[in-house]
Amino acid sequence: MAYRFIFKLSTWTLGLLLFISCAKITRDNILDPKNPDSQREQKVLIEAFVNTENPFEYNELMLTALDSLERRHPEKIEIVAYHRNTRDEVDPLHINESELQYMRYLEALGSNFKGLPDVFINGASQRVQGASSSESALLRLEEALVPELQKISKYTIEVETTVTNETITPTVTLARLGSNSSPSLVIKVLLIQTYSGQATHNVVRDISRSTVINRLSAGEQQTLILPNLNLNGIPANRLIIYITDVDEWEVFQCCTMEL
Amino acid sequence: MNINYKKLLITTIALGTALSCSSLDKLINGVEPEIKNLSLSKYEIDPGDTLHAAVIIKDGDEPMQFEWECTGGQLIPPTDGASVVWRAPVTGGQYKIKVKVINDSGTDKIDSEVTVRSYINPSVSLTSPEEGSYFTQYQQIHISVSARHDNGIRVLRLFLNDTLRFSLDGHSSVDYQFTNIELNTAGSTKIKIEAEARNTSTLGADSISVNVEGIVVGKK
Repeated sequence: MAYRFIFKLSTWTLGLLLFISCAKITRDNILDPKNPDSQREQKVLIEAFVNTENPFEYNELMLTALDSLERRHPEKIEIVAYHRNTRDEVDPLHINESELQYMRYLEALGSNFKGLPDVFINGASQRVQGASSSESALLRLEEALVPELQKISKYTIEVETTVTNETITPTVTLARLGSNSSPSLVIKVLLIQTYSGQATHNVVRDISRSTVINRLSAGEQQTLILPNLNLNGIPANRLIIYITDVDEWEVFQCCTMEL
Repeated sequence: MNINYKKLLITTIALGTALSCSSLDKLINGVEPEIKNLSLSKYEIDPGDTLHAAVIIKDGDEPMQFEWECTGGQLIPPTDGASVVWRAPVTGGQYKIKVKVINDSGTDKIDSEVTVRSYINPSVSLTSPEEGSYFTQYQQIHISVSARHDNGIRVLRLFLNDTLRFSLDGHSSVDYQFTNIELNTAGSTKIKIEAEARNTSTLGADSISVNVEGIVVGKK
């Protein structure tokens, strides 16, 4: 009888303890979107506009410097290259969408000074243009990178893809971290082909149409199926996904996915 | 011959009165000094050299007193006559020699400026951009310079990699700016500013090196 009573009492006590402790679980995991203090390190997106079909070596020097930069910060940055025609030289990797991207960044900076190489960090947050040696270019890139590496992001991105012979369909889950809702956002996806044997050369071969998200509440997650990217026989091997403002001037977070 | 002495007398008195009002005033009150000019034997002089200054009087009652002053240098006695000897200071620049002429009826004064040559080189400082700054090729930059000399700056010259590119005339301020200077050559670029002094043409210079990062001009 006594054992039965003790057994019942201990069961109730355990249950009560479990209830109390569950109720008191604090959301103190900084990676938990429901935690009002949640945040992520921001992965820095570096976009280099280059032309490698001209007699000067400035663009190659910048790509060498970017290669060194990637080796120094392998987990913290993503580097992509948009090839662009210049006044006199046609680059076979030029795509029209990258021209819009370049113009957008120049507009953000109120600049009409075009010239390659031209590197933008986290959108138009930082700009490093020109190279006379890979050492000087690396020095300037490092200087420009410092404030961007210190940024904390209030977003996290996860990606899945559906791949056919001709298209890739990214499905992106986006979460708003922290305690405030987000402004309207744009998600973009870059289709990358990595050229080996050269300086860092993650060439952008296609850019998805901008997908606008009107607002995310604090801790909210949204899953979106983004517009298809066309492979068109391109041996693409990566996707870069990034979040930016509606003007597409500043990048808030990015991630990569190997195909 | 019939002369009307009465008319003649009235006419003479009227004419005399008209002519002699000012003279009468001078006669009663005396004539204050009126200076014609202050001439210097030289208007440009080396440090420590001397010159003669002489005041020329147009009008005024004697006796007259002369009070000489200068803004620098030294008046060599005697300094109570209508001319003096002035010794230039060792520091170049613009100086004034002044004289005041006094008699019982009033005063008049005048001054004259003399340049003392300075053979010291102009001081020049390239204040912007900073040594080692980075620029993009074809970017237009502003170059700020501070330059001074006791005799003033006649001309400032800008050299890029030892090639004369622009000149600016000197002015009274020490601050100069070369605007919209395009850096056309990629690589290390030497910016040199040379200042030439007025009067002595002595030269002063300052230079820095900046890095010009090469670009391929973008599509229009």
